[in-house]
Amino acid sequence: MTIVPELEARQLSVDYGAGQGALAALDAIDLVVSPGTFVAILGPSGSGKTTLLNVFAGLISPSRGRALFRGQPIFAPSADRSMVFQRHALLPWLNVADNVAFPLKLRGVDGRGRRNAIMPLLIQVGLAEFADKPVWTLSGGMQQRVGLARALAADPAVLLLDEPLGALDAITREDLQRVLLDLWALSAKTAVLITHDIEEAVFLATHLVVLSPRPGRIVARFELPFSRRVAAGEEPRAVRAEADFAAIKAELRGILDKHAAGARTLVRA
Amino acid sequence: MTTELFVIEHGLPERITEQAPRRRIRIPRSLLFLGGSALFWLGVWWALAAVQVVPPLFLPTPSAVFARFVSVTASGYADATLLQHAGASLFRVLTALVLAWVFAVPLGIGMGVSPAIRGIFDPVIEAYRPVPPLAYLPLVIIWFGIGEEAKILLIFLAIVPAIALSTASGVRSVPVERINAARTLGATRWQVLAHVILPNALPEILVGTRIGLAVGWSTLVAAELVAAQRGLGFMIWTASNFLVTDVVLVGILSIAAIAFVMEFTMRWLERRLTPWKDKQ
Repeated sequence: MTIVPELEARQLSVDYGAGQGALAALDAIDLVVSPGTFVAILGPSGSGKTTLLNVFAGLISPSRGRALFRGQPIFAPSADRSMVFQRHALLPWLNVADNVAFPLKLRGVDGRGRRNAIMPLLIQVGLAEFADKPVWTLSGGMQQRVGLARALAADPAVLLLDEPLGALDAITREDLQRVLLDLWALSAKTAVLITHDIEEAVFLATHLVVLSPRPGRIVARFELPFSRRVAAGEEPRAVRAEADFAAIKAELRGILDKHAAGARTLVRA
Repeated sequence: MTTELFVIEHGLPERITEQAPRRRIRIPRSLLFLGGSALFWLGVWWALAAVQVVPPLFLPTPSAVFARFVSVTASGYADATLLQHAGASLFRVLTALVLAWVFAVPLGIGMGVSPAIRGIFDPVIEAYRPVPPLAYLPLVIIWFGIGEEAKILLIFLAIVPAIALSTASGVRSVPVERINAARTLGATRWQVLAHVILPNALPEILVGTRIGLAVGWSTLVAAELVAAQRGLGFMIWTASNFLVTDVVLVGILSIAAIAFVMEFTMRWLERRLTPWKDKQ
């Protein structure tokens, strides 16, 4: 039984610049993302998380090693791997419906077809009654719902999530984590999330990897049960309050602190 | 004034603010100031003309200028009515504006997208932009004569830098996330240009157009000094040669009034077409 992974990184390294001034962002990353999983990449800023996601998106080429999508080398962006950003990624001159329908417009789907295709998505993310609102009139949380719905409208195999909830307040963020989890579970898509929020990573991920500060290396890997259990109907608040949940969070905190301290010692020496 | 809508979703309220301008009908303060200022300076003018600090030949009273305005509108001056003079001037400026748009918007996009194109055109535009059009008017006449084309060309040259440079800056100001997101949603390079970069640059293109229009309009008098038969600049120039100061004043005030209307129309268009500007 062999399943072709959706995404793979093999001894993947990325340097910015060349020669003496080259800066290693990622160092020998090995990662396999299986279909239907939710992979969270956790790391401090400067750990190359965004670089890794950009390589999977096809926006950056690896310096060494390989990045594969379904066994094939990634060389350009594609709607198979749609990305959601923290901000500035929507088209403010369009209303909510037209933003969500944007990937379909790019494929030449006519207006009627677009409307029909996006209505279920708008309902799923709770935006049905805002379809005709210009996106710039929406709050940050609502805008991120539009971003998620738009990425799903492209019907990608993998959702690449570049800290999509990073700019939101705590309450809205928790709310949207639930929306994100439901979308992932219902669509049966694969998701790769980068974040520096431990709680968010533990809540959402089926698989979690921790990156060290620059150059980014994988320093820990976890398999986590919480998101599957919430998707299966358990109460999110109860799951978040469990001792196991807290223990994993504490362990991750310890790993991150250890590597941050290591980086500081290195600077002093 | 804003109204707030609450959406209950997953148990917690999320706010969206909606712009709902519901102004009571009353005269805005700015308009009151504008009217007050106009009345004040009209009064000063009247007083100066009435006590004849300078001879009426040089400073006619407002009522004399108004009477002249009526007669120039009805029966004309220098073989054309005020409307015909203004029409000829507007035709030149608007033709130059359309040509400048057709030329400068693609150029600005090229300059914004490609460092090579920017490298070639930027120094040229930056070098001639600060030169007053009157300074290169003689060269335009030597090369293109004194016909209508030369006048339009002079105004065109004055407008192009404003539109090209603001288009280029609008293109360069597109957030990289916006482009990358579109690419991972399946957009080709041309689709990114058409659906992301161009709409994103629209606010700055409109600002460039407004500035270009103002520059073009102020270049008008210079363009019409040379062998024109019609136009507000020509009317002013002819009248000044015969010391008909009231016609000069009618011409100047007409130019100011039209510039004022153009400025406000452009600002209205900006608000209308790009309400999302600065609100991203």
